[in-house]
Amino acid sequence: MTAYIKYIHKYIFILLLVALPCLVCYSTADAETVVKDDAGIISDSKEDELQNLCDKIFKEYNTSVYIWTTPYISGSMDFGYEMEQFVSAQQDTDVIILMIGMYPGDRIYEIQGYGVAKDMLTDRRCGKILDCMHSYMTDGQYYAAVEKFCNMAYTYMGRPPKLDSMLFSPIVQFILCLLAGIVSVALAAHNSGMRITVNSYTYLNKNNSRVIGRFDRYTHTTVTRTPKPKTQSGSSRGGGGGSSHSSGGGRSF
Amino acid sequence: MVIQYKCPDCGADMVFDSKTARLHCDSCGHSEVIEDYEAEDFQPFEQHFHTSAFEGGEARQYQCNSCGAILLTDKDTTATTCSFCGSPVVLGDRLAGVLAPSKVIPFAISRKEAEAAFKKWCHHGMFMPRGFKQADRIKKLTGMYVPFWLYDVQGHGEAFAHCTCIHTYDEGDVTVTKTSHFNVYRKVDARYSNIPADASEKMPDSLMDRLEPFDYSNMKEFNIPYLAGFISEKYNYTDKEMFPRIQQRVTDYMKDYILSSIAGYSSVHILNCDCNIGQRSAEYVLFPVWMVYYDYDHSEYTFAMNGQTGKIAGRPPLSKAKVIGSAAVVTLALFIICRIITVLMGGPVL
Ligand SMILES: [Zn+2]
Ligand SMILES: [Zn+2]
Repeated sequence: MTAYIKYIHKYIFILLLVALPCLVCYSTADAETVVKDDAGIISDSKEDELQNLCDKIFKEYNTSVYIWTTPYISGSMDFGYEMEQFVSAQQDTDVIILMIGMYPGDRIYEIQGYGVAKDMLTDRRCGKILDCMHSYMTDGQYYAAVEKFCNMAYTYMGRPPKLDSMLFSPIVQFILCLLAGIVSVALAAHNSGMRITVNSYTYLNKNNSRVIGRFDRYTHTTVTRTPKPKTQSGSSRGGGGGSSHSSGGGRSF
Repeated sequence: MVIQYKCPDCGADMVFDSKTARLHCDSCGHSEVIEDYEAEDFQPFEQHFHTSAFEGGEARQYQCNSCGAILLTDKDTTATTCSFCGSPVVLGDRLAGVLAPSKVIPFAISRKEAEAAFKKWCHHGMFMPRGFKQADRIKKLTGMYVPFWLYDVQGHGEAFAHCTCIHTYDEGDVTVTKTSHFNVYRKVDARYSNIPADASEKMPDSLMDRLEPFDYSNMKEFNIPYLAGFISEKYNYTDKEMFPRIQQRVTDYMKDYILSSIAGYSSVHILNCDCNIGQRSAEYVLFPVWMVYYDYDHSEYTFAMNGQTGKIAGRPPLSKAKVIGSAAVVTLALFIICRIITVLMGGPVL
């Protein structure tokens, strides 16, 4: 009898454990992700699919994704500020926003990251996503471009920016390890049974050896100045030290 | 002049024993201290046989004291065993005058120990084919006193170098690199003591060089009983003939010495290094070497073992599969470590 009750407790506990996050996700996911297609460039049927992609990011990284297309914002406007305004009107603090301004003749698209996303989607990464979207944008394949954005944002959110270095890429690492493995084993095989175990100092008579003449004459100094590599990819707006968000700098198309 | 050491108790042949560093009779266990053997002490044991007219020891004949057979020796042999009765013999006249070694490092590793050590070495060989490890086919194990010259040299070296000190700092948005240039000169006197060079024609230099270092603290004044029971040869090259090899070696040593005296720079580029190496003295010594002749896969492999320290030199056959396998294992291990580091830093597994 006692055992039975104990089991019931366990079942309830497990049920709660499984159900709670689902409930939380379900209740908030839709509300926190906004596909606001004012420009009408994404078909309604595709909007649901986008919503699913955005939900995935929210569920895993608790970061809301806004996709905002508008015919009223142009590249010559302060589109960064407009985006800030858009985000500040929402309640969330951890936000990724993609804005596509479809003002005729002066189209622009831009990405910004706030809160956690500011650290994960650095200026450089935002710029990289913008670059990857560019061919789709110029071709008018907006859905494909936005899908690319969602997928890349998802990947980047799960990987600290310091890992962007080539040295962390599995392929590069494997090649380096392979080289190290081949060289070390080849050396070991070459030296097997033939290692030399004396060095330059084995037979040196230290008491009778010394430097008897020396000079170290300074001749001249050369100075080279190199500009520090920029950490952001050509952003004129946003970015910077005290900014509330990261940004890709915007791309016209 | 054939020298053989007969046991005063039982008359059997006595040989040098590496454990006790004494002359030892295997038949009755009698042993004698070698240091007691002065030159005149072994007079009773030596006998003159067949003093032929051949000069330079070329084809002189020696006769075994034990069985009377003619000893088959080549011109370099100074100690060997009678091929008929197995008695150890030392050819005293080939160790006299200019051919008299001044020092000897006695064997510290016995035949049994050498054999065991070699088997162990094979067993631990990473890249050796399985068959080689297990074949266990030592064809011949020869204890040999190899003639070496021990050089004392004095080196004078001069070098000019161009050195830089690099200092980097930030100035606003600009990285400033200041490189200070120096002309550097060093003149050194360096003395090197007891550098060995194998003076035997038959012994491959590449093997002998890799037996170093020998421990000179156990080097003894040469005395003929040390050779009893081993093979020994006289030198083929004089100290003068061998000296260019030493010069080459010491030049490299001196470059390192000069480099070590140039410190504190970011970069050192030697422009010109001139070393002059002169011989102070050279001693004729005998060093103990176990030669191992090993049969595997229709060919013979030769290994040398330092008879004092046990260090083994020689090229064993390599198993292609094992080399490739090891490279794969190392690669995989390194790759796993790389990925673990990546994951610890927050990255994905792959
Ligand atoms: Zn005896
Ligand atoms: Zn004999």
